[in-house]
Amino acid sequence: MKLESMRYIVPDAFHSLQRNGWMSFAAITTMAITLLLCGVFGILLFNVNYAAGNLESDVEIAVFLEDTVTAEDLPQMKTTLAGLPGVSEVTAITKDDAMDFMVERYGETLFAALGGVNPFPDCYSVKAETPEQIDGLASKIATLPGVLKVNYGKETVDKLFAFTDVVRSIGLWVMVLLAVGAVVLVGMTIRLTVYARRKEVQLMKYVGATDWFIRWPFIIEGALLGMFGAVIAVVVLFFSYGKVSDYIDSAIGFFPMAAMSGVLPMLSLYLIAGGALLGIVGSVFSLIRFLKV
Amino acid sequence: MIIQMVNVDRIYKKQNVVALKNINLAIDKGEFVFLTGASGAGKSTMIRLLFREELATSGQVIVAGRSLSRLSSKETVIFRRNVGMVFQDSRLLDDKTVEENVAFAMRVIERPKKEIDKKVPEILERVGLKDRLKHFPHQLSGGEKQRVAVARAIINDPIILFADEPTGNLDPDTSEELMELLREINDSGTTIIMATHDRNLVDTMQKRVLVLEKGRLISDRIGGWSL
Repeated sequence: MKLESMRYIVPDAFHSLQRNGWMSFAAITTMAITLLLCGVFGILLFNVNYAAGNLESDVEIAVFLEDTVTAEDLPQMKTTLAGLPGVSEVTAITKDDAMDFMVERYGETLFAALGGVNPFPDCYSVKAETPEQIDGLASKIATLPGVLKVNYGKETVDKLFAFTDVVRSIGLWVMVLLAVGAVVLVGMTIRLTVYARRKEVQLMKYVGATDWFIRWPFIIEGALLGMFGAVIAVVVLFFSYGKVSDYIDSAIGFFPMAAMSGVLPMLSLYLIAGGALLGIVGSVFSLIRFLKV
Repeated sequence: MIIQMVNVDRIYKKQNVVALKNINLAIDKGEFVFLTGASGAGKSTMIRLLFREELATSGQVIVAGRSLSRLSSKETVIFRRNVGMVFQDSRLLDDKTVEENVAFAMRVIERPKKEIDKKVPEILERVGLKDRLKHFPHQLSGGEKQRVAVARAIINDPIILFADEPTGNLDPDTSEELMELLREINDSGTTIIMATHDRNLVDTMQKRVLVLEKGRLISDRIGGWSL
């Protein structure tokens, strides 16, 4: 295949896309939905890993105290915590501090809505010297009398991963099904093109065009279908990522979202390459039985 | 000897039809050979075997020293570039101009653009269509369409030109004009094998005539229609 022939082949491929308008539309749409889902999962997984990285390097343990612990016990509690090996710093966050923080963030109405009762437990923020000590320290603190529960990064990470494992396995099957659908639709579109151009194909064989010369335009058309789908998916992702990430920031502030510029450019490349690949697979499937000299 | 057929049978097993039976013949380079016979006698089958569109069920079809049944698909591609084919229906591409239809044959075997631009007008002038370059097939008469088809078939300088009933859709005068063109091409050295059942043309041309009947070669001599 000489580069010069691209001058004819690429316009021909675009012409075919137009000629099979509805079929192309269906193929591109399915491709777009498939790749959009891939993109969403990609972003989700990326952010979970990103958050996990943040949380795992976190050396803080939040220690919540039982209601039975009275204000007089607090200094004693603090001393105990500070005396544990590996602890570098202990900060007290009393239930009043917690309430003030929430009121500041969500307004006085919150306090009113809670019926004037402060539901927050007293709490200590315990900093470990190194992230490795967190596990042992957390389980030791959990057994101390008066401790309601402890929260720390790694535990959250484990929960996060349990959740994403489920999402991932469901998502994978959905994506596989969609991808098969997209490939089949591309294949059908290409078969229509082949049919529309059967006279031309026959003539090419008669005058001695190589098999690959004949196949290329169809493969390019398949790749174009895939790439158009991918571009739609990418555009949707670009427009929605910022909004979703703002929303998540305001709704669950502790979940750090990766910046758009860190995720989307690379992901877009993957999606477009993936789209082209699926499209090529689709056209190759529909060309297999066909086009022997 | 450019073409040789040795004990060639062609049997369509599915339909249980013996299309050609025990064909033996030899054709020299530069010959003009008519292939005649009633409809269904095996003329088109023979052309298809010689063009390697089909393979013989048994026996050997040898063209330019190569057995066609032994060609790989790559070699088949090369073979096709060295032979031309004209059909009864000219098989032009309707959405392409005369010029583009002829250029098509060079373009798909990736000849350089420079060569295409030079050769296409030349060949169209040679077949008498230099004022029809930008016309579309539907703007042409039957005879003109066949001339375009011939131009397309010979643009890559084939050593053999096959023609399957090329005058089948033409009136007698136009047919004679086309024959004149084919004769000129033959005179320049191209071997021509033409299937036809036009008795007048065969009589006028006085060339070698092969007669097929029910798949058998029953006559092979130079002169007019011999049935």
